[in-house]
Amino acid sequence: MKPFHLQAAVPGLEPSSDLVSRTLNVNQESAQLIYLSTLCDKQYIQSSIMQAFDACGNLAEFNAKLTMIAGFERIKNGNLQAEKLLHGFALVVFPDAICAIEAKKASLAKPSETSSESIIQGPQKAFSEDLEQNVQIIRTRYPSKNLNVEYTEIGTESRTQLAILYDKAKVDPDILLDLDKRLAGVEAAVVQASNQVQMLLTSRFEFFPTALVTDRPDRTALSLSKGKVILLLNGTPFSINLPAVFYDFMVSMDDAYQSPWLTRPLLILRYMAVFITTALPALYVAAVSYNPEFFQTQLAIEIAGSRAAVPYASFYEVFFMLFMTEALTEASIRLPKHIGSTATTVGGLILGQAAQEAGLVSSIMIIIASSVAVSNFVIPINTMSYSMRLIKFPLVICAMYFGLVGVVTGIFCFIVYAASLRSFGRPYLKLFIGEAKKSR
Amino acid sequence: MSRYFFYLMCVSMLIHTILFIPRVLIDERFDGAIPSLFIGPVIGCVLMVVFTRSMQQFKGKGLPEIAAMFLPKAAAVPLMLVFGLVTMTSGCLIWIHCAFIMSKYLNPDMAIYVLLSLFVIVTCFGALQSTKTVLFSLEIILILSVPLLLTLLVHSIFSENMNYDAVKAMIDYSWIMPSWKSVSASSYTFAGYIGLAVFNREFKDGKPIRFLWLIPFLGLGLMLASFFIPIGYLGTAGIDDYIYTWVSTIDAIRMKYVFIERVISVYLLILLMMTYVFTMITWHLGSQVIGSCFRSYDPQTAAWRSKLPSLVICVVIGIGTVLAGSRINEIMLFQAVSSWMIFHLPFDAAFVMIVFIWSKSKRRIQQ
Repeated sequence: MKPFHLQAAVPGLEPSSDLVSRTLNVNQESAQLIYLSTLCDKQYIQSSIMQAFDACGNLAEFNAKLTMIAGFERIKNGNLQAEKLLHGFALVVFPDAICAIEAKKASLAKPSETSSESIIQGPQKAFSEDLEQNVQIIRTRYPSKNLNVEYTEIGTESRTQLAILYDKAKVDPDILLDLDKRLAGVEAAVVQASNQVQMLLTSRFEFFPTALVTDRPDRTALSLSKGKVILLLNGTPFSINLPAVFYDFMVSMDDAYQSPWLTRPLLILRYMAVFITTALPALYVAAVSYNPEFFQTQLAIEIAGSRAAVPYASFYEVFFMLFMTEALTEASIRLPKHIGSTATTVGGLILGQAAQEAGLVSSIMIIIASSVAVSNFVIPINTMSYSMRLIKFPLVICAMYFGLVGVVTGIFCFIVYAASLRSFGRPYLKLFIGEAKKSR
Repeated sequence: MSRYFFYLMCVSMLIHTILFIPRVLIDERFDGAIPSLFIGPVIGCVLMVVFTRSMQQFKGKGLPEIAAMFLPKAAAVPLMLVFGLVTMTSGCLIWIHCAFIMSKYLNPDMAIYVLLSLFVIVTCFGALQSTKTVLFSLEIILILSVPLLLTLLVHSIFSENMNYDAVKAMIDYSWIMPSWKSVSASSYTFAGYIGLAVFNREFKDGKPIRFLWLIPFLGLGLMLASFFIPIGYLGTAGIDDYIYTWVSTIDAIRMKYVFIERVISVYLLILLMMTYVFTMITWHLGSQVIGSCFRSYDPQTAAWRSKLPSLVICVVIGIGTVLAGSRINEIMLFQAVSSWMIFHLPFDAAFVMIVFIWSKSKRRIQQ
């Protein structure tokens, strides 16, 4: 009987201390059981493989018994052994064949509460960090016989599992083709987050997101029913929905669950918030520095009065306050939850008050800065609110040099730019009159 | 896609009724401008209907492709050059006009060539987008600005400062033979159909455009408003004292309970937005038509090589606009505009006739 050679059986595997390799002897013959103890469920291996081995008189019988176990695969050729080991399979190496039995530990990940897109009344649980569980969630929410699930891998090093889900009856085959082409072109080494996948699939330097990342299973199921393609990445509680148009980012799931008398005005409110969060600082600079006659007389005097103590041009003020609010937003994301409230109190209340009293910024500017920040949080989807945070700066620069003319020019540029975007071949910004509603 | 045709017509009607036509017509208000308000739409609409019907014979084809079907290259290239230059010049004139207004009312401290350079650069950026993108952004901007513009219009009609006696006084001058210039100018309101020369590439379904009969009424209404409202505000004789008639009229309107009391600031911003859209369209038209004379031109791809001819054309015309704008003054501009008005109608008519003949001969070939 020749000694077992690990490298020969599993080429390319480096010895590791969680690698278990046991020889199973019967009738002068021997098979080798190999698994990674950190990935596999020992109890399950005991009850399935070991029990089967116990009841057998020779290897052939054992081999036949193994085929009865759920999750059995025969590795025919190639160097898939190491791959299978790393995905939680236990390998049984016979002298003439290699069998793989799935023995993965049950995932401990549980769906958490939705955090990035909360609504008041409606489904409350988000996705979990486990891919299988996420696919299960979608299958239960969207029990259609047309639902198609494909698995692939992304990232040359991380080999992260990626599931592609779509409703075969409704999906546009062009989008699938386009997606395949783009997935093949991804060259990133380590892929760990849905937003990263979204960026890898679309152009990296786009100002607006052209694929929608959400942690809500109900939004995902709705997207499936509208013929969109869903990507689920292992290890993140988010789904990527594509294609996505501009209006999709403005819709909260609440809009589908409540009366139109409430949701339509809310939708208008969101668009107004978009206008305020992008254009208000620029309009302030333009109106104060170039065209104070823009406003009603009393209002113009009020603004000029509140700026009386401020020693520098309006755009310094705007940049100073915008910097503070952006820094505050960043700080409250990064800080641990318990310290977060301190940052907002110190930064928002004390600093704002003191800056105004010291005459460094006008009180009107404090109102503008806070309304810009608040309006930005009204946008339902996080990636879009990031884009809107960004857009106000070019507009302020335009206003600095050209006044109101510059603001209009900037807005025109962004509208043309957004209209020139395509999300997987679909126009991003236009009126979809007479076409099926893309969301809701 | 027929709604996009409406947008094209609307934006050209709005721009012309705001910027050019009141000036030309009001100069001739005692010499037959009022009958021309009614004759112009008839001529303009006949041309429009003939042109749209003829272009619909060629589904999904632009003017360069159609010309290549009927003419040898040596004849097609000069024709395209003339057509492209004429459309782009109308954009240039409008930019210079708009830059004068903006530098007078919004940025009085800024040299006109600085403003014009900004306008021209942004317009080049817009004009170089794909045809679809131009249509989409046209749609979005119209949806955003037309309601505001209509509010202003309604507000100005029902304002107490509007003096209807002056309007009634003008009716005495209704039965005077109109001059060629005023007829040509008022028919120019409907010049938006020229856009089909390139945008027909996107109108592939070949369905007849619905509600086409609405356009003459829309145009007539807009023209009546843009002719009589300034007269109502500024007086039949007093109107001569103003250079930018419409802007001065709007400056006389006040909204008492709105943050922005003087309507003119909002109005100027909308005007600027509309001018951006209109020049984007005309320059897109011109650069596409002239660009089609080059071999590397291909409207199907977004590669920069196929856009290079269009880019060069836009940049050349843009530099020309800035140079012209910084050299001429308002008197020269208005002279140029009125001679442009005289020249435009025969050119449009000839051009529509050519396309009409081509569509007839295509039908004959098919039979």
